[in-house]
Amino acid sequence: MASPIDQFVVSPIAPLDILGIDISFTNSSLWMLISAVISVVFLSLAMRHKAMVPSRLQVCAEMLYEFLGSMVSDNVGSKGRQYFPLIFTLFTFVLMGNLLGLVPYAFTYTSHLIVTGVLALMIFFMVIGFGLYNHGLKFFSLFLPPNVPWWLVLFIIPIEIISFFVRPLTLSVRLFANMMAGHIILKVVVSFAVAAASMGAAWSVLGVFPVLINVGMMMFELLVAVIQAYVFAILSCVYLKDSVDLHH
Amino acid sequence: MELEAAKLIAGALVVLPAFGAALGLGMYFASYNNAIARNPETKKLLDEKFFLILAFIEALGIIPIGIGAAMLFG
Repeated sequence: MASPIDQFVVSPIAPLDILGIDISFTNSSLWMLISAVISVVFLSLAMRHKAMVPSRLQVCAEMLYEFLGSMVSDNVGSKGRQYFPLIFTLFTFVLMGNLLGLVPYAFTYTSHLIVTGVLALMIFFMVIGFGLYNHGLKFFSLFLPPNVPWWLVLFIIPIEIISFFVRPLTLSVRLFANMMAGHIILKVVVSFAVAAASMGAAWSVLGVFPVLINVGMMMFELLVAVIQAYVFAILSCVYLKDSVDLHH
Repeated sequence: MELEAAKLIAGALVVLPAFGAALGLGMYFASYNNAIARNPETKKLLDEKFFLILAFIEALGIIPIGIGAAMLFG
């Protein structure tokens, strides 16, 4: 019986390495391509007519746009409108990754730390980059919140620095662990049904219970998939807010 | 103790943090319901951050399980 970890193995489809670097087209990049194509096709189909009286499909696209627009304007303020395309693509990419992962035989690319780590580091270096660009060296005043009593300053600064550098870690591990643990639980529960079935015809009746448990787990996974994409996007907005205006 | 036994014990111990997450979720939902029972107008305010906080508590319960599973089956 395959161990629950086998579903996360990245297997190359079209091996390709240039200058010794293996950049083969793997099933992970295949599913990233599929999620990109689906979101592009969905949005372009939805916004084809741009009718004043929106069709049902167009309402879906507008709902997604307004949801993310209000999230960005609430959390990053009016100067944050420039980050809206980034947050929109980030949210759609992570959401499609999580949702497509629930399809059987699909590959969830967000269940790899490398993928979520790269996304989180991108946001992290973007915060530092824009912070330095917007505020110059005053950006480092971020580590000293206003009106802190003088004897506390010695403790506050290391704490603020640590909490600043732990952000990409928690951001990436939260999405990674949620997706991976969820899929492992699904696989383990279904292996009970397989074990019951392999124990002979009489016992396979018992196999229906793990399947029922999996129905519940799948609903829970759907909730986790959407919420984790939302949390990843909203936390990126909150972190980007630091680079826009230092102390809110 | 062989590595295999230690791995299995570690795999079992890793589920303990879910106890804390369960407590956290219970208290969070209880305070959410109490707040709305006391003052139903606050429902709109509370709902803004409801799912964000829910995800944080959930993440604290699932992260150890994810790491433990990676360790156990990895």
